[in-house]
Amino acid sequence: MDERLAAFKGLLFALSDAATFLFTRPLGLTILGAALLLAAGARLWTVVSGRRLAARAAGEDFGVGAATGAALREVAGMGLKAAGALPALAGLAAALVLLVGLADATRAVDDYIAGQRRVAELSATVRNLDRRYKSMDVSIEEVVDGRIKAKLAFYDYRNPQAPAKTQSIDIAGKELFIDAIVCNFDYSEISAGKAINLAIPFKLFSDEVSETQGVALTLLDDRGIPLMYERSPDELYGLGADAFGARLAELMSLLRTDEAARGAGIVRSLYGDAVHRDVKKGDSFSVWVEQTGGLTVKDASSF
Amino acid sequence: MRGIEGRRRGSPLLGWLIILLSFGLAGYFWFQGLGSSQKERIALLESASSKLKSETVPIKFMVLSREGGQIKARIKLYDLAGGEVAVIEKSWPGKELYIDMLLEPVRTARESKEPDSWIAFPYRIFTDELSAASGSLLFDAYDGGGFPEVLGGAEWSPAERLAISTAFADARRKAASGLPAADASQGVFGSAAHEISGISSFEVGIVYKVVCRVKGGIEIAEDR
Repeated sequence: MDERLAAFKGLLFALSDAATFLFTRPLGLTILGAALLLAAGARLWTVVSGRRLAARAAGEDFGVGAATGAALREVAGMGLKAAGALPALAGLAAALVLLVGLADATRAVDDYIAGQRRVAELSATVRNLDRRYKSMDVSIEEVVDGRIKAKLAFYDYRNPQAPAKTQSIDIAGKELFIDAIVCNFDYSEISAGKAINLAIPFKLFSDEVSETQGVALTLLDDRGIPLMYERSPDELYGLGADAFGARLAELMSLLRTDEAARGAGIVRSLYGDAVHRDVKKGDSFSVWVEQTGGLTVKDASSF
Repeated sequence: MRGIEGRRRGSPLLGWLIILLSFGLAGYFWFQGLGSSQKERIALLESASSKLKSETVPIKFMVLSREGGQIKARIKLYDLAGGEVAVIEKSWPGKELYIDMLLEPVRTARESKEPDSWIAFPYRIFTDELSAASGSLLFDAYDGGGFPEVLGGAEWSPAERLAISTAFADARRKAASGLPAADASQGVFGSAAHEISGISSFEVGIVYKVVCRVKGGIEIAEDR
């Protein structure tokens, strides 16, 4: 059905384009005029040649005056015939106008449908890019004698409603750094809903404690998979535990080396990002993974 | 009398034609309006999508060498028009380079109750072995008479210039006195993008760029 409709539309558009070209464009009008003149010239030539042959056969003289007279009579005859065909020509013109109108209306409807499809695609793009996922919550319990005591809650982006794990820390400094591996996928993957930017917090340090002396966040299991991404078989729907494990391992392999990520072709960037801010007792803030790329920090009260 | 009756009867065809034409015209204008509102919506969505992705590149850098436990790198700072503002070449102890940015929240839309965008200031360079407090501050390198030159090359109103200069002066003052410039009470936070040994390292001789997004995320990518 679609193929037949497409074929009909193709024919309709071709006829409409040809009519529009011939009757509205200067070049089309020139070609049409030239064709009519050529046809009229050929007709006159045939008539005058016929008359000349007839005159010769009859042994009569056929001069310029006789030829002009024959031509003028033929021209007048053609004019009369054209006048007689005026109703038919008007009908043809009306049919052509109808044809062009129908083609334009069909094109307008097609454009509208394509526009609606584009609106749906763009809406999905904006919705997916504007989305963010909570990576972790930080609650500052105490800042005393140059030491920070805090409680961290880590989230799995698949279930950001409740923390997957918590950890308490105690570190020297005034400013807290939360270090994470960040994996940003191509915009096309995100906007199509095929991928979500990932962040895996792995270390905590401060303005006074360097990263190498920082506190490791023990989130990886023996397969190198962050615990927050693990699931019990009971929690899996529509996917077997083995298949889920294989998918997860595949995903995590992207995070192991930059080369693997590049090889996959869908990872835009892979790097570490230590977000930080000064802290005081009672502070509570969250680290978010932005789907446009990178991490942001916002007060818990902002959401 | 007969004439009047004749006119009253008239031809119903003309009436139908006028009604049909009126419907046709109304349908045409309705469809035109529909198409125009659809085009406006598409333009709005395209603009929202590009705004979400919009980015600035205030820093590009290249690791020159990694020898004797030191990382030597050349850091170049750029304004918003892509003009070079400053070049810093230095060595730092460690294996992983951290490029620290300060993100100041700003309100771009009058109707927004909360900050909806972020302005990025290059803050400092440190490493995995050098604590942030001992890192190299970058503020002096792009201070153009109190205005951060990395935000030059754009049309700022006097009020916007003043707000930017005030935020910059505040960050400089705190950093100079050894306090964290990422003042949480102002909604400011820092973001130190860095390499991770064994996973993602900055290759010697390759130029990388620090991409700052209007949404607040910092990203490091190869400058191809």
